[in-house]
Amino acid sequence: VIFGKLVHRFGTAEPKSAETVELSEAEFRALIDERVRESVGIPLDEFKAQLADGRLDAEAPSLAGLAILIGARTG
Amino acid sequence: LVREPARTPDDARKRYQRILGDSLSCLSPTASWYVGPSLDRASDDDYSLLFRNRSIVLKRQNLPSLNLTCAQRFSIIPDPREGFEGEWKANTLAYIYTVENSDGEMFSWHWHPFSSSARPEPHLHVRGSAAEFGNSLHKVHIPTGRVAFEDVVRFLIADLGVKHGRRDWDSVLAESIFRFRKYRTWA
Repeated sequence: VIFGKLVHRFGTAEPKSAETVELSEAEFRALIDERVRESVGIPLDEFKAQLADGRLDAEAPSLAGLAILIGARTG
Repeated sequence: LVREPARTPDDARKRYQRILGDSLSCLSPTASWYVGPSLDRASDDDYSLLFRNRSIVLKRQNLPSLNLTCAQRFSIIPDPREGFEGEWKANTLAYIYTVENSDGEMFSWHWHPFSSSARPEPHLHVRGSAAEFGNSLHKVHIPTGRVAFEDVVRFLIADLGVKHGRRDWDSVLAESIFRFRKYRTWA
């Protein structure tokens, strides 16, 4: 463990590309729904509805990224 | 730079994900991406990309940590350029890259042309005092050119003192940025 930490500290470990986890459509929808619930406290469909009728500001810092991922209109 | 022709849409998507993976590893050896089919996609080759964790923590020397969040849309299209017939490429459709500190958003680079007819150009939001601008600064759309994820990574390391995730970050980013500038279809 100590050797491993030393290798990491001095940067001699082989650098590697960050992993990309590929999700199915259902998994991705579940992920976005989870992120929306964490950020806004409502389900994805309600989030979409509130963005569409202007009750939520798609430009708000915590919402803008989620808004483009669901195709909402943003400012 | 070794050219990596993508003969199928899947090759192009995997090449793009690998390049973004290289760039993300410059910030953190443990961060990773999620990619999935876009929820409102117009075609089967429209994808959304975001960090596996909601944000990644950016450690700095003797300064408070920052957080980075990222959301990006891209599609895979037949390469339209002369000399690239029969090849495929990734085409960015929208992005939001946001740097936050403990008070909230500091900078946020936006480009979301398909979802905003009023503001189709790339722009930047910066948090600041409303008094000098006559408007809440985060509501102001500061014009920018097209910003690559790699531009943001370089800004964080070179200008904001974020600790790099790999020692060869400078050359890794240089190669990714070179590819981006060479193969993009608009600036």
